[in-house]
Amino acid sequence: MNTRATRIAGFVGFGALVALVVVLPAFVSDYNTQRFAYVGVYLIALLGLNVLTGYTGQISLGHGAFMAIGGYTSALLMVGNEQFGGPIGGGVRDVWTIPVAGLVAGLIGFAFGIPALRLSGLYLALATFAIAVATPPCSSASSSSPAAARESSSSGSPRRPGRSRGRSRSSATRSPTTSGSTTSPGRSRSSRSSVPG
Amino acid sequence: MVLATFADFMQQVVSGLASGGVYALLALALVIIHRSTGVINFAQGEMATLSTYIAWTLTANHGWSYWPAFVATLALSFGGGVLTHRVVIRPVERGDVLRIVIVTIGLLIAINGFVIWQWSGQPQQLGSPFGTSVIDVGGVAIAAQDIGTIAVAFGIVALLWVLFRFTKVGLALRASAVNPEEARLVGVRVTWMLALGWGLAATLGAVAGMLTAPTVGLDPNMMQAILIYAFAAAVLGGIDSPVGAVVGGLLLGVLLNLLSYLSQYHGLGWFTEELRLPTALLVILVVLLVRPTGLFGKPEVKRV
Repeated sequence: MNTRATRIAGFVGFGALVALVVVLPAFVSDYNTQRFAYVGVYLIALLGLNVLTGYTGQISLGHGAFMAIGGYTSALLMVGNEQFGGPIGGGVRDVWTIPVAGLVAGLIGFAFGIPALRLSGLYLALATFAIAVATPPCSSASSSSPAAARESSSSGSPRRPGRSRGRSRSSATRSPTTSGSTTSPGRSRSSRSSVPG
Repeated sequence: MVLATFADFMQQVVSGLASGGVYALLALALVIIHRSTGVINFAQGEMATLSTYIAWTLTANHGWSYWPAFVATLALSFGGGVLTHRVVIRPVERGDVLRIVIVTIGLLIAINGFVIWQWSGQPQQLGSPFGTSVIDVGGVAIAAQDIGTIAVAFGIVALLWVLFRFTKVGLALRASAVNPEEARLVGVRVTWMLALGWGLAATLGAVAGMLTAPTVGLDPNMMQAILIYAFAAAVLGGIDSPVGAVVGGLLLGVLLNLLSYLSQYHGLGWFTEELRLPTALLVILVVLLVRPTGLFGKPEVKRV
């Protein structure tokens, strides 16, 4: 009896929420609509994290990396990477890219899950944290062709000592800037203010 | 030609040792904390960044010269580390792993936010005490900054070794890490020793930050990548082994530099700068999966 009541209440509440989402854009500014959309985005990410940490008790600090994989998949399918010399033509309608992106991120997550099964607690946290920080440079490496990157790096000043430190500087400073809004935890907070704007 | 290439190679090794020295210091900080409190401090990098900003503001805004600012920063960092343990870590130390991880991640975000709030996200320039001169050693040109970094890193490691090996405090520190209950029974004030460990770790981080800032530029996210390298170094050496942390750090620094070097000349063109961090990730994963104790670690005995 009681469970039935809560179930009905749940359905009603869910229906009300759906109705609210549908009518909300008519009453608030575009800017605020976008902010509410971000609430939805984070909610979905949180649901995913809850499956992992809430139900199975595994720590993941690298969840943003999978958000990034989904985002990149979607963007590649829509726009393609031919202008960067890549093989993907793009042109897929935006709605259809979302399930594909979910599938791709899911497969990669599954692949990562196999070794992750052998890690637990602190070590899992450590490995997933490294994934969070390492994903942005990974994606920028694959979007710029290596030959071009090499050319630009070797066409610079003549060799001087400490140059490789200079090069490591580029990776050290670039990684936080490209990490943008999703991945590294330290970054996500500081850039959140810039996300809606 | 061959000689030139060899000189190039040696240059890469030396500057790899310099960046490896920084990784080693931060890895050592992680190891000290993990040994004594069983916590992996995700905020270690941000603590180092904060310390470096303090050094920068002392020299740039308050007119201090470098070495007094250096010493003052180390003292402040030590106090900050002790305080962090007493206030933030101790209440959650014995709890669930997830709690500790989240608390240190929260610390990371809080310190990052504090630094941006206090000093803005603008990159700053911290001076180098070693200057920008270049020294020629048998055809190998080495930056004074690199030599200084290596020297300071090794000096600190030696000091730490003396502290742990030959002093009463060091003995107490080791005792409280290995067996807190019995240490307490013989009169060691274990919780203060743990706080001392955090203080030492924060000090090490401060040195690492101040050695890093002149080459990579001081900005609020400066240590994030370096923290990952330090994780990789600590895991590679065995997360509980101080010797392993130092060896792991140096190995990783040289390895990454040689990979970049090879990518320029020897058909490893796909190895771009962006792949340095993923390489560290790969090191972490492979070591954890294949040999979880690392190079120098002892097999973990599960505490009941």
